[in-house]
Formats: sequence, structure tokens, C-alpha cells
Amino acid sequence: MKKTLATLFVMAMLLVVPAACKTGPMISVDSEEVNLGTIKQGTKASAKYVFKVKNTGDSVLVIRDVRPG
Amino acid sequence: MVGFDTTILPGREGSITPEVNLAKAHGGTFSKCVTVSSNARNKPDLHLCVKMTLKVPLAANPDYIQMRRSKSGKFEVEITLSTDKPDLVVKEATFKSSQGTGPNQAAWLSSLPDHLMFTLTKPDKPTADGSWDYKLKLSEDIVDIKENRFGEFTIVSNHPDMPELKANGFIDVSAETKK
Repeated sequence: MKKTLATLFVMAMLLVVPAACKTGPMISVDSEEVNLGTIKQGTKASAKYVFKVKNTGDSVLVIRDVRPG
Repeated sequence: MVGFDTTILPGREGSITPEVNLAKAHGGTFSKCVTVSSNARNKPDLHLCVKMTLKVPLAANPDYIQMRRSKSGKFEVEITLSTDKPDLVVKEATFKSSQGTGPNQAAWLSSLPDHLMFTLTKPDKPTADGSWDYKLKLSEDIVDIKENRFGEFTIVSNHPDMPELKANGFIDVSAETKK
């Protein structure tokens, strides 16, 4: 009896938990603003920074567009 | 300009790489931001900013130079030259008219650059961020100027990274004509 209940509980959880965890795509980044410090003009034509963004959700994150501003 | 990954799988990382063109940038501290639009539930519009301080080797402040008649009757102006160089020497200062008002326009356009007289005063000590703010006083020998003269100032110095500093400006007689 106990075993049956436990099995039922586990089965129920298997059904419920994924539905509760369904978050969709989520974006996260360590820092939204970085300071590159002081750059001497003429030493570099451009300054680049690589932001690492993580998809902390559970479905595919699609970046449509990145625009200035 | 910005490079980015278009799709990121759950639990994975992607990169967004904004690039700031420094050739077009002015000196000083500024931020460049981008907006990342995605299907993210938490932040459909994520703002990412890159902040930096661009140090120019030699900068004129103000960067638009305006010469006015002083009490001595000459056209003069005092500007600040900010530089990282503690032994700055100005070799030459000129003004070339590119546009005049009034009937003598053609003459201004074809004229040779005027050599300006100048005195450079070194500061006692550098500013907190290590820059030297020199005072440069420019004066025009020609006294008989009747109309505003617009053009370009060129300051030739011993700075290896910027031997010629150019700044737009004008010789301003408007204050006198109003009288």
C-alpha cells in the first residue's frame, strides 16, 4: 500500500513539477554595465566588449535584434 | 556595430559584442548602450552599456574657438590645451578663413593662413587625472577686420601623437558692429 502511494506520488510529481518549472526562455547577464577604464585616443580604432548572456530558462532563447540605444 | 548569437539553448551561454568606434568619439567619459530584444520572459528588452574614458593626446577647450577684440585693439582668445605631455611646445598657430561674410568672400577663400601670435603658459602641476592644462593665448596681428571670419585654427606642437591640432572657430566682430 505504502509502495503504491509512493509510486502514485512520484508519478504525480512527474506530471506537476515540469508544468510548474516551465519558465520559457530567460535571459541573464552578470553585469549590464561595464567600465572599460581609460583608453588613449589613437591607440585603438575601436573598443569591444563581449557580454556573456545566459539562457536560464527552459526553452530556446531567440535574440531578434540588438540595436543602439 | 554589434555582433551577437541569435539563438541560445536552455542552460547555454551566448555572446553579445558591442563595438564602439573610437575614431569618431570625442574625449571624455561616455557610455554606449545597446538594447537586446529577445523572446525572454524576464527581460524582452535588455540594456547593455559599455562605459569608458577616452583620453585625447591633445585637446583644445573650448573646441570651437572664438576670437574677440580685446582692450589692446587686437583680436585675442585664451584657450586651454589639455595633454598628457609635460613638456609641450607650440611651434605655430594659424587661422585659415574658409568663409567670410560680406563682399570680400572670395578674398577670404583664397587667402593664405594668418599666422597668429601666441603665448603658452604651463601649469604648475598636472590635474588629478595626470593631464596638463596649458593656457594658450592667441592673438591676431591684423586689426582691420570688419566682418566675421569663419575658418579653421591649426595649432602645431611637438606632440608626437597629434602634431597638428585643428579646431573650427571664427573671428568675431559682431559685438562691435552692434554698437
